[in-house]
Amino acid sequence: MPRFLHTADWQIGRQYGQFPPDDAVPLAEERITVVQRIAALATERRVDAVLVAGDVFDTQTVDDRVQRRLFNALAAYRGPWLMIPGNHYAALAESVWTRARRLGCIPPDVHLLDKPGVIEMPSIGTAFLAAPLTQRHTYTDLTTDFDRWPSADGLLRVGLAHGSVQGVLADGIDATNPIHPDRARSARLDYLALGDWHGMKRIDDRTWYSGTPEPDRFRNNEAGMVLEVQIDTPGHTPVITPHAVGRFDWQSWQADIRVSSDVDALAERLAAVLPRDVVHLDLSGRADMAEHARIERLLSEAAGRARSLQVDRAAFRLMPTEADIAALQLDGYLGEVLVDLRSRQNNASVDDAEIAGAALTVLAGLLADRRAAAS
Amino acid sequence: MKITRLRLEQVRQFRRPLELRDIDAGINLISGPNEAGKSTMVRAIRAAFFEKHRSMSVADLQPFGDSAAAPSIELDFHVAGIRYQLKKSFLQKKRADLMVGTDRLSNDDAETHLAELLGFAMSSRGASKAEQWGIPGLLWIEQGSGHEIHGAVGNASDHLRNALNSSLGEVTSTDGDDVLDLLKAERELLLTASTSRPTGVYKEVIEAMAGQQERLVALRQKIDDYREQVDRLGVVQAELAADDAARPWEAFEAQRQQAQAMLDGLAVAGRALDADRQALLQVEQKLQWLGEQARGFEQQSQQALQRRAEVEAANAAVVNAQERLAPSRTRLQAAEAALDDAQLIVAAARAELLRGTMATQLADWRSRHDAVERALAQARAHDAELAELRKVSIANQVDAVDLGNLQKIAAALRELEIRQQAVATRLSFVFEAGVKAFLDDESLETNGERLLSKPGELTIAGVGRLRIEPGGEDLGAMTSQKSRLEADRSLLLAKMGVADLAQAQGRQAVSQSVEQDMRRVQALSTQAAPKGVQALRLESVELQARIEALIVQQRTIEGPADGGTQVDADTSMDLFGFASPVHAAEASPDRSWTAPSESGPTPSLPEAERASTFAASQLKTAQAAAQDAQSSWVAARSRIAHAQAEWQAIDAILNLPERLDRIGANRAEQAMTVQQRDQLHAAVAAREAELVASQPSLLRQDVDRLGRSAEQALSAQSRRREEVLRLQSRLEEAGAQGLEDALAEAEAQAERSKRRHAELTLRAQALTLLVSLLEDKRRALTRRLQAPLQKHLDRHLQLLFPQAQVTLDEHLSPGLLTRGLPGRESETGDFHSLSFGAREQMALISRLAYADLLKEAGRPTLLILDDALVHSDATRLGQMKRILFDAATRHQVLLFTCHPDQWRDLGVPARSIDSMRVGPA
Repeated sequence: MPRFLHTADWQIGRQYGQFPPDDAVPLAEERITVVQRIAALATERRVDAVLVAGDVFDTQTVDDRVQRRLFNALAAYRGPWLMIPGNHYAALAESVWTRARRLGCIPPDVHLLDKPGVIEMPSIGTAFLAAPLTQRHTYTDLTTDFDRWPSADGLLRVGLAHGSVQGVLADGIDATNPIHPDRARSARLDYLALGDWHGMKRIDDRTWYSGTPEPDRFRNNEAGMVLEVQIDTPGHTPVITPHAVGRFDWQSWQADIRVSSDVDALAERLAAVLPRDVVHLDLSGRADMAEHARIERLLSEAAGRARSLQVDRAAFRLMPTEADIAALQLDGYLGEVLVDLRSRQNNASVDDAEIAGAALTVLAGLLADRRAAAS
Repeated sequence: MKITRLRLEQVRQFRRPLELRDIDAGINLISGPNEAGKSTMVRAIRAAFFEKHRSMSVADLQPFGDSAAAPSIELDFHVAGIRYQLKKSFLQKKRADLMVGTDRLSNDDAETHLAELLGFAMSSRGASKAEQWGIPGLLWIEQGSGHEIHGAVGNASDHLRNALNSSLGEVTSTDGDDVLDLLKAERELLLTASTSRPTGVYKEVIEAMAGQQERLVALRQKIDDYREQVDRLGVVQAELAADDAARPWEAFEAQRQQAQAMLDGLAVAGRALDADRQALLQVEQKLQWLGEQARGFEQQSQQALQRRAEVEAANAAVVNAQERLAPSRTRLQAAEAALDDAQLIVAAARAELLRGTMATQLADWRSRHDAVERALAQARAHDAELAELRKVSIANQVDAVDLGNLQKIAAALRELEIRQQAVATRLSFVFEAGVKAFLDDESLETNGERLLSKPGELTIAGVGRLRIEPGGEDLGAMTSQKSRLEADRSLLLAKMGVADLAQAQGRQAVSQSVEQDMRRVQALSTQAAPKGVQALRLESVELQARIEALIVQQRTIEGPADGGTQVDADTSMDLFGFASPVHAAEASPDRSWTAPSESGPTPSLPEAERASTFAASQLKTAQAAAQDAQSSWVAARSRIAHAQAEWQAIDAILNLPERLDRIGANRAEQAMTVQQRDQLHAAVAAREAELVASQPSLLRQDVDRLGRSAEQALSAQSRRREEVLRLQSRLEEAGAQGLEDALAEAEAQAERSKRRHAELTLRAQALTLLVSLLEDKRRALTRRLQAPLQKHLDRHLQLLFPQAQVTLDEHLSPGLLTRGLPGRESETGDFHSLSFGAREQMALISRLAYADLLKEAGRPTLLILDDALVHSDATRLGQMKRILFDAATRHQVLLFTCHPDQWRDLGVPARSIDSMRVGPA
């Protein structure tokens, strides 16, 4: 009754340039930490093997230190680990793997399946069929050979592949490294462990994408899981149990502020922000000075709690009301400028409107500061 | 504000009071010459308002040297219907009193009230300063500063602004300028103020972006290189493995060896072919030699036949030569005879020619001989004549010396006689007819005279004798001398053989004539015989001898002939008759030596010689022909002998008995050798065909190619090994650099910089927009605020410069002036670029405008002009007067001048300072 953990797309070495360094470093660090959690889970679940369906590393040349840290992270589970290369570091003549071999940092219980073929492990009753990428991109289905590769009777046939199942994923994603959607059946596989798609996804009873164990993008696609696969005997439908191992919750929010209640709604969402959250907020609409100040305050508080809170304010405008302007007690030409800017926000081209909005914010901020200082 | 009365006391030159009463509400013209006190009055008014009564800095107000004086000033005026009276005294009596209506204010209170009322500030310490003068500083123009205004406007700007604001009824932004400054400062953190170029953090982030971009490009390039190398490594490793498995060089080597073996076999065949070719060559040589031998035999037979024919031909030639021999000899003899004849004719022609020459010679000589003989005869005749002449000459020979002496003696005697006569006694006589008288022996004539140098005896017939003896002692000496001379003469005459001198002289004449004749005859003789008679004679004899010799020679030439005597006769006759030898020749027409074939005259020598030469050449030809015939004959004979011998020799060979055997053997061997040759030919052709068919050059190329291919395959493989090692080490090195990590890091940085740049750009744009908007609004507002002032200014300006416009700057001072000058484009200039006079006028106009503005705002206004507009021309001054007059309808004007006549048309009387002096109080 063999049991495996199926994972993929660890993307060790990934950098998060879109984040400020304070956020980017912990996010990158977590990619190794999650592997420790997987190893711990594997030990806890006493699985027979951990299958890593490609893209262990994010690049072909990963810093030596990062490599060593990854292999150290595997230590909690004594194996075997079965890994295939992915499109981020195909099994080329020189790759992160050849380098790791030279460094001698690959633990003995890690089996790198960097050549197409079958590895039979009678001890765990399984034959593994590997279709590693030996080029960065292929346009033929490398799993086609699974159909004609034999394996010893009585062993499970478990395939590992990295690529896009044809006709299932979104357009454009499946252009390279294609995999036939009916491969598990045609190759008589008990299970086909796939990588490349970062969200967990079931293709059929025997064909799954595990997704990346630690989310790395805002696309909401059930990332952060590993799959426990149990197959009683050859031919039986596998029992799939997802385990959440991811730490950070990547969320992409939109908030369009039109009326005061929109601000209240945003306030509620922001109040619920947790330290595990990595939030990207697309802010649009307009706010009077009071609302504007409130939103800024809410955002500031939420940013203090969240792992990361990124706000895109390009489409968000400060729109002082007549009352705002009156409250500023602007005398002379300042008031005229404020009104002028407000109308520019509405009338000018997009770029000019943005500039006018920024100018308005600056001016309003300055005036508010002065008024605060004066009172 | 209107001042109604001014009183000074103990102020400078006004030790005694000076009072100006009834000051008009409009223009007041106060005149006085220089130092009359105009400026003192102005100073007093200013001091009354500006200087603190306690001030110690007003000593200049005291009369000169009078430190005990207490300068005091009283001013009555009213403002907005309220009457004011100010009494202020300084130094020795410090006091200020101000009546405001009925209220009294003293000292500091009074001064503070005044300052507020008029719009200036009091100095806290010391003398009042321009900065504190406020409105009066602007409206009270000090002497010499009428062209300056900006400072005064600045000092009054608060009051002016207040006046403007109140006129506008609006409060200006008090925050605006502060906010603008703050925003400008903020903007200058990002963009430079002057050129709007990025600066500070903005510049830094732009520079950082450029650097990051460069680093990205470099890293991407490195990664591309790296990937290329990785791909290359994969390719090379695959090739290496493939070739290690296939070992292609071994196949090449096997093929090469096979080709080599074939090539070796061909070499053996080639050597056999060479041997066959060599044998064939020998056989062909042998065949050639045999052919030559056979041809030798054949030639021998041919030769025999030829030589036989030769013998026969030689015989025929001998016969032929013999036939030619006889006629040639005959022709030779004939030719010889002809030559002899021709030579004879030549000889005859030569003799003929010689004879002709001789005859000519003979004639010549004979004529010369005759000439010589004639000359000889003449010469002889002349010689005879000469001999005769010489006899005559000798007979008349007189010695020239003797003749000379004789002539001398004769002369001396004559002279002596003359002397005797001179001393002689003169005897004159006249006788009667018939009377005979003698002197001595001398019969005397009837009438005469005698000189008696010696005693004489005169005998007169019939009468007797008379003895006369001359007197004097010399007569005796003379007579003796005469005797001596006569003796000498006689001796000489004797010696000369003559009777007297005349005879001697006659002889001499004859002698001279004969000598002339002799010279003439001598010349003739010399002419006839220049070399002498003897020479002539010898010449004659020689010629005669030659003639005779020639005659003998002629005879010899003639030779023994019938005409010989005749010739002789001719010749002898020739001696005298000059007969031509031709005649002689003609005389004997038939000579035995003429050419037998020809008769007739002897041909000329050249002709004869040509004939002779021809004959000689004919002879030569005949001789050659004869010789030829002779030698042909000899040759033919010897040829016969030779041909015979040759024929016999060949005949002997032909008749040798073994010759036929040898011919037979030769034929047999030829046949055998031909067979051999054909066999060898066939063998060689066969081998050659074999060699061509197996294409050895291609085989060699194959060996070469396959050998190289093997080598190539091996070296390619070793190159691959090297390349793999090289690539691996390079990739290892590159991998250690963590290129893609670095790229990811760089991209993250670039991403952050880009965001930062976008933020800063937006901020810079926002600040720029804000600053420009604020400045625009501020300008517009300023213009709006300044409008009332502008209105007043424009009104006055139109009076001075029609259609001109002037702007006001930030500080409310006149700025740019734009004027449309007649006939020219309008020009715009700064206030400071105007001329001194125009500046003064503009400044005054501006002050009037400020005064209007202030008045509208309810501020007191008073205009004081101390010696104003002294730089204006008459026209401008006229315009300015209109402007001033107009202003005076709204403001009180105190105009101090030292040129009252210039202001006569202001419509007010000029008030003299002297008229204001007040008598002792």
